[in-house]
Parts: sequence; structure tokens; C-alpha cells
Amino acid sequence: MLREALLLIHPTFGVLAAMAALWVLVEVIRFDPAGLWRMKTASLLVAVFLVATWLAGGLWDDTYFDAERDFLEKGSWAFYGNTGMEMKEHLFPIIMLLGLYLPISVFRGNLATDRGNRLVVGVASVLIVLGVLAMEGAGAVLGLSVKIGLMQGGSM
Amino acid sequence: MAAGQSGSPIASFGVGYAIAALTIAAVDALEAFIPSFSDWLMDTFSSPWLHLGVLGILIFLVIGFAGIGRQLDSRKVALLVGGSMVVSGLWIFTSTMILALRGGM
Repeated sequence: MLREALLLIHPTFGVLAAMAALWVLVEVIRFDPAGLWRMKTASLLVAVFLVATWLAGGLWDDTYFDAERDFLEKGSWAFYGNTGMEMKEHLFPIIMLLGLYLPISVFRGNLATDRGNRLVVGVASVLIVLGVLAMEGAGAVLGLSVKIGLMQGGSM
Repeated sequence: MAAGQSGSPIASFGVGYAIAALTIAAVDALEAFIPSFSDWLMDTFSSPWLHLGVLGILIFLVIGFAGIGRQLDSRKVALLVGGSMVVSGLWIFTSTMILALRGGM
């Protein structure tokens, strides 16, 4: 049960983080000082969801991936699956750090008067959305690689 | 505050982010090309995912709280944050692909 929970929770948190980052982006494009609290809320959600994604994905990697790798290696998509996993392990910390930076830039920036600060928030939120989508893609390739390994090499 | 001025934690934490992202990419490249370094990291942290995140968070927080680069113009901070993310991402992608093509994973 924990296996399935960790497996399903980490991409779900990732998508929620991407949606919250998109929310921040929309707020900063159409900036309204009265709606600053919405941007602050969404930026905090980005940080919380990305850290939760990192921890849940990492725990799944530590606990369950070795067994899945055995199946993955038996399939013709082993190269793509292994590459996807390496990308996720090494690229995700950069996205998570950007998620930690986003609330700092929203809470401590002078967004109402400084366009440069709004640009920082916009750049960070766009890159979080794109980065998380890339990680979701890598996860999909990894999942498909394990499935192909199971079909071609054996069953669980 | 006039447009483009900073002098805020946005700048120092932005510099912290850029240095952390580039350091993560550098460590990743070292892991890809020096197997003994990768083995040492695995023995020390007993995990393939934890060390890069912890290292990044430490660098990000230390530089951010130290106030390094605090006077940087906020437009330059945006360029620094975006540029470091893209460069680090491409760097990690390239080193991972080279390692994969060599059959080192």
C-alpha cells in the first residue's frame, strides 16, 4: 500500500505544484495589489508541494526502485527508463530550489512598484511549470519502460 | 522603489539559487565522469537523490542569509536565476546522456 501511495503521491504533488506556479504566473502578469495574498498563498503552496514531491519521490526511489529496475532492464526501453530516472534524480533538486526561492521573491519583493521584482517572480514561476512538466514526462517514460520490461521479460 | 532597483533578499537568494544550481550541475558532472566520486557519495549519503538537494538547500540558504549580491539589480537577478536554471538543466541533461550512451548507468 505504501508503495502505491508513494508512487501516486509524488507526481500528484508535482502537478499541484505546477498548477500553483501557473497561478502565481497569472497573478504576476495581471498584477493587482489587492490580490497579493493569493499570490503569496500560491507561492507557499509551490514550495510545500515541491518539497513533498522531492521527499515522496526520493523515498520511493530508495525503497522500491531497485526491484522495478530489474524489470526495466529486461525490456527494450531500458535505456530510456534509466535515463529518465537519472534526469529525475539530478534535475529535480534544481526545480525544488526554485520552488523555495519563489515565496521569498513574492513575500520580500516590492511587487507593486518594482517591475524587476515582478520579472523575477514571472521567470521563476514559468521555469517551475516547465521543469515540473519535464519531470512528469520523464516519469511517464520511466513508467512505460517498466511496463515494457514486464511485458517482455516477465511478470511481478 | 524605482523599477529595476533591488537591495532586497530577492537578490541575495537569487544569487544563492544560481550558485546552488550550478554547483549541483558540477557535482552531477563529476559523478558522471568520476565513478569513484559517485561511489563515495553513495557510501556517505546512502541515497542517489538526497545529497544534491541537501547540498543545494545549504548553499541557497547560506548565500541568501549572508546577503551576498544584495545590491544586484532585480532585472539582472531575473536573468541570473533563469540563466542558471537553463544552463544547469542543459549541463545535467548532457552529462546524463553521455553517461547513458557510454553504458555507465
